[in-house]
Amino acid sequence: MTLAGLVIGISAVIGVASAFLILNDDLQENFVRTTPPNVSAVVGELTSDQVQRLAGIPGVEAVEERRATLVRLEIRPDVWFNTMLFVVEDFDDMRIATIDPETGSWPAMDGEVLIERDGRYYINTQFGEQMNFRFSDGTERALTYTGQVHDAGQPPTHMERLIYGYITRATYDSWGLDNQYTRLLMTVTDEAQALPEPQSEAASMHAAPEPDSRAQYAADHLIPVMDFMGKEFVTASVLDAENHPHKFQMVSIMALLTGLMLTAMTLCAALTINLIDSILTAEIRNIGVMKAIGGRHGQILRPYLLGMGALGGLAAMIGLSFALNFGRGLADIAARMINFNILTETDPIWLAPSMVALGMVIPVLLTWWRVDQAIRKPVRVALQNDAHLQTGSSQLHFTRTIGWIPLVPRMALRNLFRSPRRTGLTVMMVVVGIISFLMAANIRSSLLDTVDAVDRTQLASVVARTRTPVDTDAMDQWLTRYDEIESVEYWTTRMSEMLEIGESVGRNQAINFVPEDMAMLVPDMMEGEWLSADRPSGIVISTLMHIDEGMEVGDVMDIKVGGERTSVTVIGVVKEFGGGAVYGTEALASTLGLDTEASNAILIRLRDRSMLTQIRFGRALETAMLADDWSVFAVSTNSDLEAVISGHLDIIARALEVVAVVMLAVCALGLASSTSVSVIERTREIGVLKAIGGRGGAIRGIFLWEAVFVALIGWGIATVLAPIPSEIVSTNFGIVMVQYPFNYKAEIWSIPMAACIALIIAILASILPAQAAARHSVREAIQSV
Amino acid sequence: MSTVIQLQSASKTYSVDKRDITVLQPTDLTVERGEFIAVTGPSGSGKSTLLNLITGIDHPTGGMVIVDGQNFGGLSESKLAHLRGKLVGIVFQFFQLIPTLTSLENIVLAMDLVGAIPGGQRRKRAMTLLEQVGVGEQANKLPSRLSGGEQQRVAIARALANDPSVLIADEPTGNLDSVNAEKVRAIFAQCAADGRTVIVATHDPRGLEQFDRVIKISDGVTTETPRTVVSAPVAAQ
Repeated sequence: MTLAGLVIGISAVIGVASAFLILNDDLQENFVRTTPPNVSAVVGELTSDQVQRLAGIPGVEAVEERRATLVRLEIRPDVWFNTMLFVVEDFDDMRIATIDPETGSWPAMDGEVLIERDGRYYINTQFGEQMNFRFSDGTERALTYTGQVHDAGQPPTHMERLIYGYITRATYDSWGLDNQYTRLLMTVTDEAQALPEPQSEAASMHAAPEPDSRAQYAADHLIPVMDFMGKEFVTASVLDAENHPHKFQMVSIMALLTGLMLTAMTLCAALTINLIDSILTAEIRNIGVMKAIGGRHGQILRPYLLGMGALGGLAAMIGLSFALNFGRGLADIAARMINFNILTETDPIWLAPSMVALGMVIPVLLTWWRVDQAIRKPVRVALQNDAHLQTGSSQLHFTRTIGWIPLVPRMALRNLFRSPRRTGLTVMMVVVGIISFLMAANIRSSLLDTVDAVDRTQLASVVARTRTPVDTDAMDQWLTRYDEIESVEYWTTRMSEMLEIGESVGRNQAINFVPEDMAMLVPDMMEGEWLSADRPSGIVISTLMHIDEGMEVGDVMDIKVGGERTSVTVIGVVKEFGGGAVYGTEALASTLGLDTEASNAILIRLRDRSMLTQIRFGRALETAMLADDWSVFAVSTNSDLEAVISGHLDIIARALEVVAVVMLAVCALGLASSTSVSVIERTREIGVLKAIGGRGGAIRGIFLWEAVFVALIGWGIATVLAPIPSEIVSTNFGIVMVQYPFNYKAEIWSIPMAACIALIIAILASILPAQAAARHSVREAIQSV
Repeated sequence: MSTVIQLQSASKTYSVDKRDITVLQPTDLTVERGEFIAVTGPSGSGKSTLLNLITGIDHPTGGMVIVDGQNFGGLSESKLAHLRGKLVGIVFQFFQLIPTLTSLENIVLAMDLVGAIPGGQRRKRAMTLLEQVGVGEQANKLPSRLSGGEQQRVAIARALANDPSVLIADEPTGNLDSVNAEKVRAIFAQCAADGRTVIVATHDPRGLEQFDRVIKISDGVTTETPRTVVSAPVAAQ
């Protein structure tokens, strides 16, 4: 059992370390291989010559146009999925944000589309078949699906609920879309600051003072360049070209796993201590004899160190293959979840020797500690060696309070006090195992509660967004055909530029101008207060903008909507999952010259809010609106949002479940080991019990009860302690992973379930040692030391 | 008198390193109910082996052991343990009390394991037995708080817990001082006087005159001394 424990503990640590290394290197490598841009800008339409001129500016390493158009893809009849179509200028000469062909044709020809591989789970189209896309103007166009590609630079479709497609420039141009802007991806290097020539694009970029970073510099000063070219500058943003967007999340998960696996190894160390103690139970008299006949400290210690070192080495060698496969498996799961490829083919050469060294060092050090203590005992005490058979009256006083318990379980309970350290270690193992289980359950519950929070706070079951504002009275009249509608609310949503960074470069952010009697949102405020008529220039931001963008209550900034500009103050932070959201009053909309009677967001609350009804209604609404020429662009349901949340959070829950399984396995081994040691130590007592009439069942019962008590004590402690790490992990991991502190919610059913698991573990762990005890020969048992 | 123990050519041979060592030669022995018997002999002579065969702790490699009409040879371990608990009380040299249980609980445990005494009577009976052997006031103490003599008397009370017809003691005074040894011997004599069959293994020549029969054992061969007349039993403390 100790060997099994060591194998699991060491393998878990080395496996996670191996996965960590593979993922860290490969995620980075996947990302870097795409040559990610560090600046993205939206500017007026450029000629290819102008793009070339931009690329020729010293310090600008590469520039590439990559228009992006948000459309809807019909994944099944009347089922539409948000899709981002990227326009690739030249598939054979992609220099920035590259993609890799996987299956099907490459490159896309005119009239064809390639789809990012993570979208394959949502589409039912085969290569060569037509895909139907609906554009923001309501028109529909078909493209032939010809290939699947991998774009390691994009967040996975299953997380973002966004499919990525890639088309040629000619395909895009053939649609004749009214778009006077283009999107530039740029890679700007160190030399961007050292530009010599005046009166040129380069000089314009050089003219800026003290940039925070080169990329920021380029973004800030793209405007003068565009001015110089006579082109409109819309926006620019600085991108992190060095780290995958999900790298931090992945590292955080791996760090959590590593921490927990180290805990598993600590538990294995406890297992080893139990083993050593059980050996010493039989060996302490021999140690006394060796000392009595002149054995020196080192001479006595050496064979034990060699034996345990060999055991650890053996455990490492047995576990090596498991560890590497476990690491690979873990890396593979993470890679699939974040949609990148494992590139590492061979494990680091030092991994195997490290594992063997780790496997040997732990048992050797523990053996040193325990045997050294045994050797230091006086010869007389060592020869007597009955300490483990004794019990103190203080324990009797304690257990007198439970005198109503039948004698056999009472005896089992008292037995736990005979070796408080071992009992303590075993209880600790159970506590850690059960805490892991409860944490996994609590965090899953917290994640589900976070999903439920969408239902609690966002009361609209379906949201229909239109390209152009709709007449709310006419829409009200039109919607009367649906009996399933409980209530309707109209919002005005507009893109704004929040000029918090500087005069020219800001964040493009949609602002929801909500009515004063808003009912479709129940704001869950993190800080500050919700909108009110008293503070018309106040805005409320969502969690992401607070955590990710560092915006605080009290921040003052200018916002620009459709050319109108006004100053606003952040008055509150609302807890909201997903991308950044900003809310303003209708009064603010009026200040910006917007007509609040013309709404472009229709929020509908259904009487039956089941997922199926939402989806069915959403589809029917979208089809009917299109048929009646409402300029609908997209209809989304709360279920879609819940799916996005679940997609992001599932990875954490899965990781914790893996940890819980490992911990519970170690906990079971710990309990089994402890029971085995008890059996060894009390062999003679077992013989006596059998001699005075104890049948196998009674003997098994004693050890079973002991294991049950340890499991229940561990369960009790774990139940009290589990909420602390659960809440810390829920809250902080939410912030780290998705910039949203999960709503901590303890899973009540997990407590009785943990008790059942503890009992099952106790029974499974004690069954073999207890059987062994029951099978002892009475004569041999009585004669044992 | 009726026969309570019968050994028919019972022998015990151990196999050590592919070598057979016979520790008890084929032995015939008949013990009547109420007999008070001593088994004597030097260390390693086979005393404990003989007692182990009678108690069913060990199985004969030849012959048969019948206790109270039950052939111990054909029974499962579980059945044997149950019968042993019911028919035979055992007293060990080193007391072998369960250290986590009080004196009283040690005795109740023996009754709990066998189930021959009704549940409601067990504590009262345990207390009575402790008082009979003179350690009633130690009922709620752990064995570690008792002297060797007191522990052995508790062990005797435990052996009597299920009212067995046979009481077997292996060197019960071997670990006691002379005063306590005398007290323990007196208790055994009283048990025999009460009609219980008592077999005591001892290498102490003192007090052999108290026994009805003395079986000498040497190199696994038993020889029996003539029956002695027992003087009036020594009252238990």
